[in-house]
Amino acid sequence: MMGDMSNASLWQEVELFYRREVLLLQDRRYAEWLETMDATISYRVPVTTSTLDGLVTREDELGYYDEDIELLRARVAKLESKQCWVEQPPSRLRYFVQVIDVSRQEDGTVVARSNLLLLQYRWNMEQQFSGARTDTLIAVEGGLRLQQRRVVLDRQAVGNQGLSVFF
Amino acid sequence: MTRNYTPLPPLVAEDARIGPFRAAELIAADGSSVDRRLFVNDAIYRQEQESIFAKCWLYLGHESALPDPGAFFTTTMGEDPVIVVRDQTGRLRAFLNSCSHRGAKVCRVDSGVTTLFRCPYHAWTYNTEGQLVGVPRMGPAYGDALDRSQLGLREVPQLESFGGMIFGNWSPQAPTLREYLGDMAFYLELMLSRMDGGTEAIGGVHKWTINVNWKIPAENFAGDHYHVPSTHGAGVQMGFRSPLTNNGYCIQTGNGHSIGSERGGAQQGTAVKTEYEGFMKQSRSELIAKHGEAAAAFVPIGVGTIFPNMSFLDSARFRSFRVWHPRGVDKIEVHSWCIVDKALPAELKAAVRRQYSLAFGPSGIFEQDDGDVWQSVQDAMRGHIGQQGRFDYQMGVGREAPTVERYGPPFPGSCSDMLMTEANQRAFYRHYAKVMSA
Repeated sequence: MMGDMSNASLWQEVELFYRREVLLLQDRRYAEWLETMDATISYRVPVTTSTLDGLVTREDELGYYDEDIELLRARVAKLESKQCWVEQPPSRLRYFVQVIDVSRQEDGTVVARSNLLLLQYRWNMEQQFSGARTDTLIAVEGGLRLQQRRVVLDRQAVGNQGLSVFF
Repeated sequence: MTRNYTPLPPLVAEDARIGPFRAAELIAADGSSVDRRLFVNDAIYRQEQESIFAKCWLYLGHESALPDPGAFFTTTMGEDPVIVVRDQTGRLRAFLNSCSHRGAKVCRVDSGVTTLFRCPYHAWTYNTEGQLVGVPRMGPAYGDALDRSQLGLREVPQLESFGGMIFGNWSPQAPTLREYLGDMAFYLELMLSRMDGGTEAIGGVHKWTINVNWKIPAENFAGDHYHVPSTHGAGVQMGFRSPLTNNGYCIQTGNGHSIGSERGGAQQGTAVKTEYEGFMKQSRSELIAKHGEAAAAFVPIGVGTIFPNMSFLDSARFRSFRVWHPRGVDKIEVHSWCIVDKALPAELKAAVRRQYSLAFGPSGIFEQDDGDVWQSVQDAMRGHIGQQGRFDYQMGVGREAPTVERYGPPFPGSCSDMLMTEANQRAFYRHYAKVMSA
């Protein structure tokens, strides 16, 4: 379903949400990033499987990320530790988010689809990720809050060494 | 039959040959030091492909991934690509994923269900029994000269399962899987039979690469508990696991296989807990009722490696199987699964799945630091000087004794009286030397 392309103020609000999120993620201000989320957040990056019917994902299968707010907080606590070797020294991150479609649902939530390109430069390597994001955002005082995120990565096998970035 | 004591693997025979080297040049007789060339030398790597990956039992996957006839998945044995399939009669088989005509892969996907594998190059077509059933323009092209019965897919000659775990072996002369596992079978049974109905793999496979020689992760899972406080300091700090104690065991069970566990299992911590804890507690009391108080130490059984490149992590929070597939001397592709007891309630399975991917797999808050450190081990050995000298494995030399002396019967293998020892790594490399110089 194509969204309401004419609702300029809604698009603007969504763009604003993502611009702020890009800044938080690039600066690795993860505690603040968590504050852009609703307490009921479902944050999922499923494993993709190549099958005879193409690349598929399934909700009851493994995820690279498969999180609620408690697990996300645990990850952030780990990333902020001085002994988090995978981010010592910290990666340089560059996020590019291209909003493709925005639509307001009957229940008042906003579903936004976007393309994501992420470039990561680490002390020992560099890699890039691209994928399709589908977010559900809810309106709260002063803007939007993320309630649900699903990111399907284009890679079949995730790159090198480990995954220490959010999508 | 379970013996109560597994002697250590034989000392490394000094004059045995490992590739172009004398064994003594590479590995101390008792395994307490290992030359850096073992992790970077191409000739050694090529010989491993023949002496280890074409002759040892290799883990292929879990039976639960192949429920019905025609179900298949692809993986590799060493570097050789294979298709593992349940044929139309229900039998498990594995084939080299390479057309017998000109070698192209006949299957290009991770998994699925099919009746046929068709090569894209010239369209030779095989059934799930590996037979060549279709050759385009057979009459005009070959007359009646082509004997299709001789041109099936190359089949892995030995394929066996243990508790749902499928293993394959390219050598027709290899001992049975049960003989190969030896006393490890006893501990695997403890891990796989906590509930009626056995285990299953949750769908989906974590796949990623690490630029490191395959033996570094294999020996780490065999018995490197010493790395936990430093490599995983962050995971301790945020409460996913408690600070490591030295209370636990490292047990080698022969043939290069081993397990090790801190008392109560790895990943005991206060952060993000689930009901799995209660389930493990229940399993522990059942094992105590069967074998006495000492048996409490074996739920969960811990971290382990089945020689050469299959490892598992049976922790207080979840269970994972993984294979370190070699991709050249300095690279691996990891395949990792979350394993649960089939009879667990669905919500608990989902909770365990989330605990696993929080801690292990490419984004796991423990495993991401392992990968980062391991690649730096390999990177530091690229230069002429970095390839010289030996890694040291002397921690805990001489502390091994029969497991029964500490835990009583029926617990097999030889055991060290502390957790932080390199006894299992020594056993791994002593067995490695034996296999490589056979």
